Amino acid sequence: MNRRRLKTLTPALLLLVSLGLLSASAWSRGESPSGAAALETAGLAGRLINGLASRVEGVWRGYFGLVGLQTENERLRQTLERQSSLIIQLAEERAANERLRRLLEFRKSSPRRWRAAKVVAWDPSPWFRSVIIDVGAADGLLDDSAVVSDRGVVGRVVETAPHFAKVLLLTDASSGIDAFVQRTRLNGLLSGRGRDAMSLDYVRKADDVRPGDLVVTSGLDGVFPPGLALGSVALVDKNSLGLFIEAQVRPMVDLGALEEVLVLLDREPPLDWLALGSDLRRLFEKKQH
Amino acid sequence: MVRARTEPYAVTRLRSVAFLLLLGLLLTVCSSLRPIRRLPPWGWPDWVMMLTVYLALRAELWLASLTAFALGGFKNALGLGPDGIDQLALLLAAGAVKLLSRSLKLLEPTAAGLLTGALDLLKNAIFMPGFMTLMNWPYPVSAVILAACLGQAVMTGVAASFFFGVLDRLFAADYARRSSA
Repeated sequence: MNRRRLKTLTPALLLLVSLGLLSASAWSRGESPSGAAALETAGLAGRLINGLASRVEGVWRGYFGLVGLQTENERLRQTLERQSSLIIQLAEERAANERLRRLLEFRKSSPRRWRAAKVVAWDPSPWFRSVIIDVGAADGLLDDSAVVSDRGVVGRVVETAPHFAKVLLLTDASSGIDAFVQRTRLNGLLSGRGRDAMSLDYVRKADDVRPGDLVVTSGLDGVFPPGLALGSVALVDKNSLGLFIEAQVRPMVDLGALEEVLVLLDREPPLDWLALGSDLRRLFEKKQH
Repeated sequence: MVRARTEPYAVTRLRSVAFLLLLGLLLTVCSSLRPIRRLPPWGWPDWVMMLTVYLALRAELWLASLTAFALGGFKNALGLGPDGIDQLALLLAAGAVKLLSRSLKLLEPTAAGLLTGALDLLKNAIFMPGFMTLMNWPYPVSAVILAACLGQAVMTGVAASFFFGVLDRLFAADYARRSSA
Protein backbone atom coordinates (compact mmCIF):
# COMPACT_ATOMS: atom_id res chain seq x y z
CA MET A 1 0.00 0.00 0.00
CA ASN A 2 1.63 3.27 -1.03
CA ARG A 3 2.02 6.24 1.29
CA ARG A 4 -0.59 8.39 -0.39
CA ARG A 5 -3.27 5.74 -0.09
CA LEU A 6 -2.33 5.10 3.53
CA LYS A 7 -2.69 8.80 4.32
CA THR A 8 -6.10 8.87 2.67
CA LEU A 9 -7.29 5.80 4.54
CA THR A 10 -5.91 6.79 7.97
CA PRO A 11 -8.91 8.92 9.07
CA ALA A 12 -11.36 6.18 8.05
CA LEU A 13 -9.30 3.49 9.82
CA LEU A 14 -9.12 5.54 13.00
CA LEU A 15 -12.87 6.12 12.82
CA LEU A 16 -13.45 2.39 12.56
CA VAL A 17 -11.12 1.72 15.51
CA SER A 18 -13.01 4.29 17.62
CA LEU A 19 -16.35 2.70 16.74
CA GLY A 20 -14.88 -0.70 17.58
CA LEU A 21 -13.73 0.55 20.98
CA LEU A 22 -17.18 2.00 21.64
CA SER A 23 -18.86 -1.27 20.73
CA ALA A 24 -16.47 -3.24 22.92
CA SER A 25 -17.14 -0.83 25.76
CA ALA A 26 -20.90 -1.18 25.33
CA TRP A 27 -20.70 -4.97 25.38
CA SER A 28 -18.16 -5.43 28.13
CA ARG A 29 -19.26 -2.59 30.44
CA GLY A 30 -15.86 -1.69 31.86
CA GLU A 31 -13.74 -4.74 31.11
CA SER A 32 -12.14 -3.14 28.05
CA PRO A 33 -9.00 -4.70 26.58
CA SER A 34 -7.24 -1.36 26.16
CA GLY A 35 -8.32 -0.07 29.60
CA ALA A 36 -5.42 -1.29 31.74
CA ALA A 37 -2.70 -0.14 29.31
CA ALA A 38 -4.33 3.28 28.82
CA LEU A 39 -4.80 3.68 32.58
CA GLU A 40 -1.17 2.78 33.26
CA THR A 41 0.05 5.39 30.73
CA ALA A 42 -2.31 8.08 32.00
CA GLY A 43 -1.31 7.34 35.61
CA LEU A 44 2.41 7.62 34.86
CA ALA A 45 1.95 10.94 33.06
CA GLY A 46 -0.25 12.22 35.89
CA ARG A 47 2.27 11.26 38.55
CA LEU A 48 5.09 13.02 36.68
CA ILE A 49 3.14 16.22 36.16
CA ASN A 50 1.86 16.26 39.74
CA GLY A 51 5.40 15.82 41.05
CA LEU A 52 6.57 18.84 39.07
CA ALA A 53 3.52 20.87 40.06
CA SER A 54 4.08 20.09 43.76
CA ARG A 55 7.59 21.49 43.57
CA VAL A 56 6.36 24.68 41.89
CA GLU A 57 3.58 24.97 44.47
CA GLY A 58 6.15 24.56 47.25
CA VAL A 59 8.25 27.42 45.87
CA TRP A 60 5.16 29.62 45.63
CA ARG A 61 4.16 28.91 49.23
CA GLY A 62 7.70 29.31 50.49
CA TYR A 63 8.34 32.71 48.96
CA PHE A 64 5.27 34.56 47.76
CA GLY A 65 2.71 33.29 50.27
CA LEU A 66 4.43 34.78 53.33
CA VAL A 67 2.86 38.22 52.95
CA GLY A 68 2.34 38.89 56.64
CA LEU A 69 5.98 38.21 57.43
CA GLN A 70 7.43 40.69 54.97
CA THR A 71 8.89 43.02 57.62
CA GLU A 72 10.49 40.17 59.51
CA ASN A 73 11.67 38.68 56.22
CA GLU A 74 13.52 41.89 55.45
CA ARG A 75 15.42 41.59 58.75
CA LEU A 76 16.11 37.91 58.34
CA ARG A 77 16.58 37.95 54.57
CA GLN A 78 20.25 37.13 54.64
CA THR A 79 19.65 34.12 56.88
CA LEU A 80 16.57 33.07 54.92
CA GLU A 81 18.40 33.15 51.62
CA ARG A 82 20.92 30.66 52.99
CA GLN A 83 18.21 28.42 54.45
CA SER A 84 15.58 28.97 51.69
CA SER A 85 15.67 25.62 50.01
CA LEU A 86 15.60 23.80 53.34
CA ILE A 87 12.55 25.82 54.52
CA ILE A 88 10.57 25.06 51.38
CA GLN A 89 11.32 21.38 51.70
CA LEU A 90 10.40 21.23 55.39
CA ALA A 91 7.11 23.14 54.90
CA GLU A 92 6.02 20.71 52.24
CA GLU A 93 7.06 17.69 54.30
CA ARG A 94 5.25 19.03 57.35
CA ALA A 95 1.98 19.45 55.41
CA ALA A 96 2.29 15.95 53.98
CA ASN A 97 3.12 14.59 57.44
CA GLU A 98 -0.03 16.16 58.90
CA ARG A 99 -2.24 14.64 56.23
CA LEU A 100 -0.60 11.24 56.58
CA ARG A 101 -0.80 11.38 60.39
CA ARG A 102 -4.57 11.87 60.15
CA LEU A 103 -4.82 8.98 57.70
CA LEU A 104 -2.71 6.79 59.98
CA GLU A 105 -4.91 7.55 62.99
CA PHE A 106 -7.94 6.51 60.96
CA ARG A 107 -6.16 3.39 59.74
CA LYS A 108 -5.10 2.33 63.26
CA SER A 109 -8.66 2.71 64.54
CA SER A 110 -9.89 0.16 62.01
CA PRO A 111 -9.01 -3.54 62.16
CA ARG A 112 -9.12 -3.85 58.34
CA ARG A 113 -6.15 -3.85 55.96
CA TRP A 114 -5.64 -0.48 54.28
CA ARG A 115 -3.17 0.78 51.71
CA ALA A 116 -2.27 4.46 51.35
CA ALA A 117 -2.30 5.98 47.87
CA LYS A 118 -1.73 9.35 46.23
CA VAL A 119 -4.16 10.90 43.77
CA VAL A 120 -2.28 11.58 40.53
CA ALA A 121 -4.95 12.65 38.03
CA TRP A 122 -8.56 13.78 37.75
CA ASP A 123 -11.13 13.27 34.99
CA PRO A 124 -11.10 16.47 32.89
CA SER A 125 -14.57 15.99 31.39
CA PRO A 126 -17.60 17.73 32.95
CA TRP A 127 -19.76 14.57 32.83
CA PHE A 128 -17.92 12.18 35.13
CA ARG A 129 -16.28 12.28 38.54
CA SER A 130 -13.27 10.04 38.94
CA VAL A 131 -9.63 10.14 39.97
CA ILE A 132 -6.58 7.98 39.32
CA ILE A 133 -4.52 6.74 42.27
CA ASP A 134 -0.98 5.34 42.27
CA VAL A 135 -1.69 1.84 43.58
CA GLY A 136 -2.97 -1.00 41.45
CA ALA A 137 -3.44 -4.73 41.04
CA ALA A 138 0.21 -5.41 41.85
CA ASP A 139 -0.41 -3.95 45.33
CA GLY A 140 -3.38 -6.23 45.97
CA LEU A 141 -6.16 -3.91 44.80
CA LEU A 142 -9.37 -5.41 43.49
CA ASP A 143 -12.28 -3.88 41.65
CA ASP A 144 -14.91 -2.47 44.02
CA SER A 145 -12.32 -1.83 46.76
CA ALA A 146 -13.47 0.96 49.07
CA VAL A 147 -11.51 4.23 49.00
CA VAL A 148 -11.67 6.60 51.95
CA SER A 149 -9.88 9.58 53.44
CA ASP A 150 -9.54 10.63 57.08
CA ARG A 151 -12.83 12.54 56.82
CA GLY A 152 -14.93 9.86 55.15
CA VAL A 153 -15.77 7.91 52.03
CA VAL A 154 -14.22 8.98 48.72
CA GLY A 155 -15.52 6.28 46.38
CA ARG A 156 -14.67 2.84 45.07
CA VAL A 157 -12.22 1.32 42.61
CA VAL A 158 -13.77 0.62 39.19
CA GLU A 159 -10.75 -0.14 37.03
CA THR A 160 -7.29 -1.45 37.88
CA ALA A 161 -3.97 -1.53 36.04
CA PRO A 162 -0.80 -3.07 37.47
CA HIS A 163 0.30 0.15 39.24
CA PHE A 164 -2.66 2.52 39.02
CA ALA A 165 -6.38 2.39 39.59
CA LYS A 166 -9.39 4.49 38.67
CA VAL A 167 -11.70 5.49 41.49
CA LEU A 168 -15.37 6.32 40.97
CA LEU A 169 -16.12 9.22 43.31
CA LEU A 170 -19.26 9.08 45.38
CA THR A 171 -20.62 12.19 43.61
CA ASP A 172 -20.59 10.52 40.18
CA ALA A 173 -23.97 9.70 38.64
CA SER A 174 -23.10 5.98 38.52
CA SER A 175 -22.34 5.84 42.22
CA GLY A 176 -24.86 4.32 44.63
CA ILE A 177 -24.01 3.51 48.25
CA ASP A 178 -26.31 1.91 50.79
CA ALA A 179 -26.53 4.32 53.71
CA PHE A 180 -28.08 5.06 57.08
CA VAL A 181 -29.07 8.38 58.57
CA GLN A 182 -26.98 8.10 61.72
CA ARG A 183 -29.46 9.78 64.09
CA THR A 184 -32.57 7.80 63.16
CA ARG A 185 -31.00 4.66 61.51
CA LEU A 186 -33.21 5.20 58.46
CA ASN A 187 -32.00 3.28 55.43
CA GLY A 188 -31.62 4.86 52.00
CA LEU A 189 -29.50 4.86 48.85
CA LEU A 190 -26.94 7.64 48.48
CA SER A 191 -26.69 8.49 44.77
CA GLY A 192 -24.28 10.82 43.06
CA ARG A 193 -25.68 13.72 41.03
CA GLY A 194 -22.50 14.95 39.32
CA ARG A 195 -20.28 17.90 40.34
CA ASP A 196 -20.41 18.04 44.20
CA ALA A 197 -24.00 16.98 44.77
CA MET A 198 -25.57 13.78 46.08
CA SER A 199 -29.07 12.72 47.06
CA LEU A 200 -30.42 10.26 49.58
CA ASP A 201 -33.08 8.25 47.77
CA TYR A 202 -35.94 6.00 48.89
CA VAL A 203 -36.59 7.79 52.18
CA ARG A 204 -40.31 7.97 52.80
CA LYS A 205 -42.10 11.23 53.53
CA ALA A 206 -43.15 10.03 56.96
CA ASP A 207 -39.52 9.38 57.98
CA ASP A 208 -37.60 11.79 60.18
CA VAL A 209 -34.71 13.38 58.26
CA ARG A 210 -33.46 16.91 58.95
CA PRO A 211 -30.78 19.18 57.49
CA GLY A 212 -27.56 18.58 59.37
CA ASP A 213 -28.13 14.84 59.86
CA LEU A 214 -25.02 12.75 59.23
CA VAL A 215 -25.27 10.01 56.60
CA VAL A 216 -23.03 6.95 57.09
CA THR A 217 -22.40 3.67 55.28
CA SER A 218 -24.60 0.76 56.29
CA GLY A 219 -22.12 -1.98 55.39
CA LEU A 220 -24.88 -4.04 53.77
CA ASP A 221 -23.40 -3.83 50.26
CA GLY A 222 -20.18 -5.60 51.24
CA VAL A 223 -18.05 -2.83 49.71
CA PHE A 224 -17.83 -0.22 52.47
CA PRO A 225 -17.40 -1.09 56.13
CA PRO A 226 -20.32 0.17 58.24
CA GLY A 227 -20.25 3.52 59.99
CA LEU A 228 -18.03 5.51 57.60
CA ALA A 229 -19.10 9.13 57.05
CA LEU A 230 -20.58 9.86 53.64
CA GLY A 231 -21.97 13.36 54.02
CA SER A 232 -24.43 15.60 55.79
CA VAL A 233 -27.98 16.38 54.74
CA ALA A 234 -28.11 19.87 53.24
CA LEU A 235 -31.73 20.18 52.14
CA VAL A 236 -34.92 18.17 52.66
CA ASP A 237 -37.95 18.68 50.41
CA LYS A 238 -41.02 16.84 51.69
CA ASN A 239 -43.31 18.51 49.17
CA SER A 240 -41.84 16.63 46.22
CA LEU A 241 -44.02 14.45 44.02
CA GLY A 242 -44.12 10.74 44.74
CA LEU A 243 -43.70 8.56 47.82
CA PHE A 244 -40.20 9.67 48.77
CA ILE A 245 -38.60 12.90 49.94
CA GLU A 246 -35.86 14.70 48.06
CA ALA A 247 -32.87 14.98 50.34
CA GLN A 248 -29.71 16.66 49.08
CA VAL A 249 -26.50 15.55 50.75
CA ARG A 250 -23.18 17.38 50.82
CA PRO A 251 -20.10 15.11 50.80
CA MET A 252 -18.01 15.01 53.95
CA VAL A 253 -14.76 14.89 51.99
CA ASP A 254 -13.58 17.88 49.94
CA LEU A 255 -13.22 15.93 46.71
CA GLY A 256 -11.54 18.82 44.91
CA ALA A 257 -8.64 18.82 47.41
CA LEU A 258 -7.88 15.10 47.51
CA GLU A 259 -4.20 14.27 47.80
CA GLU A 260 -3.82 11.06 49.81
CA VAL A 261 -6.41 8.34 50.33
CA LEU A 262 -6.67 4.86 51.88
CA VAL A 263 -7.82 1.83 49.91
CA LEU A 264 -9.37 -1.19 51.63
CA LEU A 265 -7.55 -4.34 50.60
CA ASP A 266 -9.64 -7.00 52.30
CA ARG A 267 -13.34 -7.12 51.68
CA GLU A 268 -16.03 -9.04 53.45
CA PRO A 269 -18.25 -10.96 51.06
CA PRO A 270 -21.74 -9.45 50.76
CA LEU A 271 -24.44 -11.05 52.90
CA ASP A 272 -25.77 -14.19 51.27
CA TRP A 273 -29.48 -13.58 51.83
CA LEU A 274 -30.59 -16.92 50.45
CA ALA A 275 -28.30 -18.89 52.75
CA LEU A 276 -29.21 -16.61 55.65
CA GLY A 277 -32.89 -17.21 54.95
CA SER A 278 -32.54 -21.00 55.19
CA ASP A 279 -30.46 -20.71 58.39
CA LEU A 280 -33.12 -18.53 59.96
CA ARG A 281 -35.84 -20.94 58.87
CA ARG A 282 -34.00 -23.89 60.48
CA LEU A 283 -33.59 -21.92 63.73
CA PHE A 284 -37.29 -21.06 63.69
CA GLU A 285 -38.34 -24.68 63.10
CA LYS A 286 -35.98 -25.85 65.86
CA LYS A 287 -37.53 -23.42 68.27
CA GLN A 288 -41.03 -24.50 67.35
CA HIS A 289 -40.21 -28.14 68.11
CA MET B 1 19.93 33.31 -6.78
CA VAL B 2 21.55 31.19 -4.07
CA ARG B 3 19.03 29.13 -2.20
CA ALA B 4 19.38 29.12 1.56
CA ARG B 5 20.12 25.74 3.08
CA THR B 6 17.04 24.33 4.77
CA GLU B 7 16.33 21.12 6.58
CA PRO B 8 14.23 18.50 4.83
CA TYR B 9 10.54 19.35 4.81
CA ALA B 10 9.61 16.00 6.37
CA VAL B 11 11.81 16.63 9.44
CA THR B 12 10.31 20.05 10.04
CA ARG B 13 6.80 18.73 9.71
CA LEU B 14 7.45 15.80 12.05
CA ARG B 15 8.93 18.07 14.66
CA SER B 16 5.95 20.37 14.46
CA VAL B 17 3.41 17.60 14.92
CA ALA B 18 5.47 15.91 17.62
CA PHE B 19 5.69 19.22 19.46
CA LEU B 20 1.94 19.74 19.17
CA LEU B 21 1.23 16.20 20.34
CA LEU B 22 3.49 16.58 23.37
CA LEU B 23 1.99 19.97 24.10
CA GLY B 24 -1.48 18.45 23.87
CA LEU B 25 -0.54 15.62 26.24
CA LEU B 26 0.98 18.04 28.72
CA LEU B 27 -2.02 20.35 28.65
CA THR B 28 -4.47 17.43 28.95
CA VAL B 29 -2.72 16.12 32.05
CA CYS B 30 -2.41 19.66 33.45
CA SER B 31 -6.19 20.01 33.14
CA SER B 32 -6.44 17.38 35.88
CA LEU B 33 -4.11 19.16 38.34
CA ARG B 34 -5.66 20.21 41.62
CA PRO B 35 -5.35 24.02 41.19
CA ILE B 36 -6.92 23.75 37.71
CA ARG B 37 -9.72 21.55 39.05
CA ARG B 38 -10.59 24.35 41.48
CA LEU B 39 -11.24 26.76 38.59
CA PRO B 40 -14.80 27.17 37.33
CA PRO B 41 -15.54 25.28 34.10
CA TRP B 42 -15.04 28.39 31.97
CA GLY B 43 -11.59 28.93 33.48
CA TRP B 44 -9.79 26.26 31.46
CA PRO B 45 -10.31 25.65 27.73
CA ASP B 46 -10.44 22.30 25.95
CA TRP B 47 -6.89 22.14 24.59
CA VAL B 48 -7.45 18.87 22.78
CA MET B 49 -10.27 20.32 20.69
CA MET B 50 -8.19 23.42 19.93
CA LEU B 51 -5.21 21.40 18.73
CA THR B 52 -7.43 19.13 16.63
CA VAL B 53 -9.10 22.07 14.91
CA TYR B 54 -5.75 23.80 14.38
CA LEU B 55 -4.21 20.77 12.70
CA ALA B 56 -7.33 20.21 10.60
CA LEU B 57 -7.08 23.82 9.37
CA ARG B 58 -3.33 23.91 8.77
CA ALA B 59 -2.19 20.37 8.08
CA GLU B 60 -3.45 17.32 6.27
CA LEU B 61 -6.44 15.38 7.52
CA TRP B 62 -4.45 12.27 8.36
CA LEU B 63 -2.21 14.26 10.73
CA ALA B 64 -5.20 15.90 12.39
CA SER B 65 -6.88 12.47 12.72
CA LEU B 66 -3.83 10.86 14.30
CA THR B 67 -3.47 13.71 16.79
CA ALA B 68 -7.20 13.63 17.57
CA PHE B 69 -7.07 9.88 18.15
CA ALA B 70 -3.97 10.01 20.37
CA LEU B 71 -5.03 12.98 22.50
CA GLY B 72 -8.64 11.81 22.63
CA GLY B 73 -7.46 8.41 23.79
CA PHE B 74 -5.42 9.98 26.54
CA LYS B 75 -8.35 12.09 27.67
CA ASN B 76 -10.55 9.01 27.56
CA ALA B 77 -8.07 7.10 29.75
CA LEU B 78 -8.29 9.78 32.45
CA GLY B 79 -12.06 9.53 32.79
CA LEU B 80 -15.04 7.24 33.02
CA GLY B 81 -16.61 7.72 29.61
CA PRO B 82 -17.02 4.72 27.29
CA ASP B 83 -13.86 3.76 25.44
CA GLY B 84 -13.52 5.48 22.12
CA ILE B 85 -16.08 8.25 22.62
CA ASP B 86 -13.57 11.10 22.89
CA GLN B 87 -11.63 9.76 19.93
CA LEU B 88 -14.76 9.45 17.79
CA ALA B 89 -15.97 12.93 18.68
CA LEU B 90 -12.61 14.52 17.86
CA LEU B 91 -12.24 12.59 14.60
CA LEU B 92 -15.66 13.80 13.48
CA ALA B 93 -14.69 17.36 14.50
CA ALA B 94 -11.49 17.13 12.45
CA GLY B 95 -13.45 15.93 9.44
CA ALA B 96 -16.03 18.69 9.80
CA VAL B 97 -13.34 21.37 10.04
CA LYS B 98 -11.58 20.03 6.95
CA LEU B 99 -14.84 20.24 5.00
CA LEU B 100 -15.45 23.82 6.13
CA SER B 101 -11.83 25.00 5.97
CA ARG B 102 -12.01 26.40 2.46
CA SER B 103 -14.78 28.84 3.33
CA LEU B 104 -13.13 29.87 6.60
CA LYS B 105 -9.84 31.17 5.19
CA LEU B 106 -11.05 34.72 4.68
CA LEU B 107 -12.44 35.15 8.18
CA GLU B 108 -9.74 33.54 10.35
CA PRO B 109 -8.96 33.73 13.25
CA THR B 110 -12.39 34.86 14.52
CA ALA B 111 -14.25 32.23 12.53
CA ALA B 112 -11.77 29.57 13.61
CA GLY B 113 -12.32 30.52 17.24
CA LEU B 114 -16.11 30.48 16.86
CA LEU B 115 -15.98 27.15 15.09
CA THR B 116 -13.79 25.65 17.83
CA GLY B 117 -16.16 26.84 20.54
CA ALA B 118 -19.18 25.55 18.65
CA LEU B 119 -17.58 22.15 18.09
CA ASP B 120 -16.63 21.91 21.76
CA LEU B 121 -20.20 22.64 22.81
CA LEU B 122 -21.55 20.19 20.26
CA LYS B 123 -19.18 17.52 21.51
CA ASN B 124 -19.81 17.95 25.25
CA ALA B 125 -23.47 18.91 25.34
CA ILE B 126 -24.96 16.96 22.43
CA PHE B 127 -22.69 14.31 20.96
CA MET B 128 -21.44 12.69 24.17
CA PRO B 129 -24.76 12.58 26.06
CA GLY B 130 -26.53 11.51 22.86
CA PHE B 131 -24.14 8.65 22.28
CA MET B 132 -24.18 7.60 25.92
CA THR B 133 -27.98 7.55 25.84
CA LEU B 134 -27.85 5.22 22.84
CA MET B 135 -25.41 2.97 24.70
CA ASN B 136 -27.46 3.08 27.90
CA TRP B 137 -24.39 4.47 29.68
CA PRO B 138 -25.30 6.33 32.91
CA TYR B 139 -24.55 10.03 33.11
CA PRO B 140 -26.05 12.84 35.19
CA VAL B 141 -28.82 14.99 33.75
CA SER B 142 -28.11 18.35 35.27
CA ALA B 143 -28.46 22.00 34.32
CA VAL B 144 -25.24 22.70 36.24
CA ILE B 145 -23.25 20.37 34.01
CA LEU B 146 -24.80 21.76 30.82
CA ALA B 147 -23.90 25.25 32.02
CA ALA B 148 -20.35 23.99 32.64
CA CYS B 149 -20.20 22.65 29.06
CA LEU B 150 -21.37 26.03 27.74
CA GLY B 151 -18.83 27.90 29.86
CA GLN B 152 -16.00 25.70 28.68
CA ALA B 153 -17.09 26.09 25.05
CA VAL B 154 -17.02 29.88 25.34
CA MET B 155 -13.56 29.81 26.95
CA THR B 156 -12.32 27.39 24.29
CA GLY B 157 -13.60 29.60 21.48
CA VAL B 158 -12.02 32.74 22.92
CA ALA B 159 -8.70 31.04 23.69
CA ALA B 160 -8.60 29.38 20.27
CA SER B 161 -8.24 32.69 18.41
CA PHE B 162 -5.16 33.62 20.43
CA PHE B 163 -3.76 30.11 20.53
CA PHE B 164 -3.98 29.72 16.75
CA GLY B 165 -2.16 33.03 16.30
CA VAL B 166 0.67 31.88 18.60
CA LEU B 167 1.02 28.55 16.82
CA ASP B 168 0.95 30.24 13.43
CA ARG B 169 3.87 32.42 14.53
CA LEU B 170 5.81 29.37 15.73
CA PHE B 171 5.26 27.35 12.57
CA ALA B 172 5.03 30.16 10.00
CA ALA B 173 8.10 29.00 8.05
CA ASP B 174 6.77 25.46 7.89
CA TYR B 175 3.41 26.55 6.51
CA ALA B 176 4.93 28.94 4.03
CA ARG B 177 7.04 26.11 2.69
CA ARG B 178 4.06 23.76 2.56
CA SER B 179 1.81 26.22 0.77
CA SER B 180 4.50 26.93 -1.82
CA ALA B 181 5.20 23.22 -2.37
